[in-house]
Amino acid sequence: MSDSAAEFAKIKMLHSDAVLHQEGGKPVVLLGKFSFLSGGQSHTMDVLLIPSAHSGYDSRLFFERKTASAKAGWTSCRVLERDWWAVSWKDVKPPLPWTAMLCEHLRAVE
Amino acid sequence: MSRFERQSFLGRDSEARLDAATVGIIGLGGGGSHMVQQFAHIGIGGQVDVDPDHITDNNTNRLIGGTLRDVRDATLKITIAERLIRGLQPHARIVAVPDKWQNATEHLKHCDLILGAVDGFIEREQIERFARRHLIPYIDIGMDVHDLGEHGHLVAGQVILSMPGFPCLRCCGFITDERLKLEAARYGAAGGRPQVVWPNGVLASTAVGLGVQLITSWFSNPPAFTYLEYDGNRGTVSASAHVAALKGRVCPHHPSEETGDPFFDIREHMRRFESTPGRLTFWRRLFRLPPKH
Amino acid sequence: MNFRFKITSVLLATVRIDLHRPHPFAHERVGFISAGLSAVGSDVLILARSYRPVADKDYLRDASVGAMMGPEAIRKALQWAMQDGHALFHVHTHGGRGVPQFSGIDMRENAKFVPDFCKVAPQCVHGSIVLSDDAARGQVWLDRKRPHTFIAQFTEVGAPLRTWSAA
Repeated sequence: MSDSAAEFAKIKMLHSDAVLHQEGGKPVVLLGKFSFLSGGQSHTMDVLLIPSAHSGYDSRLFFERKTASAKAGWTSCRVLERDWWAVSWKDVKPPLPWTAMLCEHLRAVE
Repeated sequence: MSRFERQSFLGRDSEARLDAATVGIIGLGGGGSHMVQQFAHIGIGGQVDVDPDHITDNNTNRLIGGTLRDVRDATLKITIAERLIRGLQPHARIVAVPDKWQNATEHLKHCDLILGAVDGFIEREQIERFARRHLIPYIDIGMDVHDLGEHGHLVAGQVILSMPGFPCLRCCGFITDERLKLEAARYGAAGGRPQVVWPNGVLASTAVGLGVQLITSWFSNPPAFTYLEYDGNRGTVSASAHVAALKGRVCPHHPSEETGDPFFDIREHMRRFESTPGRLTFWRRLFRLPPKH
Repeated sequence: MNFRFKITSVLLATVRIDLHRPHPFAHERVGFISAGLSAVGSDVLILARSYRPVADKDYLRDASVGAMMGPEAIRKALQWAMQDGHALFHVHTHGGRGVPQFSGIDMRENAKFVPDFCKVAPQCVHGSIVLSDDAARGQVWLDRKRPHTFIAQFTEVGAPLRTWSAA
């Protein structure tokens, strides 16, 4: 099993609606209807984890919609032919496991 | 006698080809406004012009067609563009979008060619990916003025043709992760750099020339990939060394498996559109598409 | 709903070269083009991705037709469509110039197997394309039940660009 396949398998255990896509030849993980806490409130929306260099960061987590609580400003980006939002926050560098990367990125909207 | 008589060398059918073509221009500032004007002069029949901004005073040193009155009236750049086009092509098929390009993709998908005159590398990369997904050739232009300290300034720029299946902006080293990082560190602020009219004119004219080579048959062996570097101090436009180095190279950054919309579902598409038979007739007329079956 | 097919010059040339190779016993060669899809208003763009020829050993001997694919050829193509979520288009060439026509045999045979692709990859349209040396015509199936429609326009994306109507 490749590294990406193994990492994706762990994400899938965390969230069964995860689907592995590809853009630019690199893995892109779509977590459909993913639930998380932001500003004390529960949110459910599609999020996109890109565990490699993208749009100037070493990894990125994109959200379907902005939340009211974010540690920095939002920027928009088009990935997989949809428009997404990401927090222009600190960089979360590989080689963290994808599950850990996801958790670190979610801290941007805690 | 046609107003295109003096360009008949472009080919017997060139007038028809140019009229049938639709080009998309993203960014209607110093570079884009030149391209709008030139495509109208040469008889391109359709334009999709995209820019969210209105003209301001500090655009007037380079925005073709913009006047001081437009500044006073806060005229949208797309309005200036449309005025330019209509003065030459009264029946042109124009879609003018006063918004960011991500909100114009339904119109841009119709284009035979997309040209970008935008400020940032992050944006360029996204536009190019959109164009590649839809098998649309993309031409990128841009200029910079580099402060060389006691040695003065260097006016420089580039015109890059990114054709599906051929090297891309990453292949030729124009877009790199390092450049994207620097831009992201500035929170994506890429504008406000020195800009002046004549380098924009050179770059835009070169881009239009490449576009006409793709649309008409006048040039026997048009390039499928080119990276032209402009040296404004020497007054030269020459092929980058990347062109020869990348000959025959297949682009790994836009795999052929990634065309289209990964979420497209014909069942959902049919549900949305088969219940509205009269919808979008306007766009069909605009882009001269055949009538619905 | 109109369909517009786009393919790069490089890929189209690859397909044509392969289809012109002689086969040990079949008069024609056939293959499959995979594609992605994108909506443009109510219309659909079919965006060619890659090409796979039908392997020599997967043809059946049938002197009554130019080429007859065996069950293994169709099984492999079905698997390709299902596994990777591609829109698939059967392709062969009639040679010559100008927009070609499907023969009566083409139409009959296409209708037998193309709808099966809609069963394994129902999110995609599937179809068949016939080439000439400088143009093409295509059929599209949206699902298993409806009759096919025709591709309205083809664009060959390269230097130069070429577009032709084919419906």
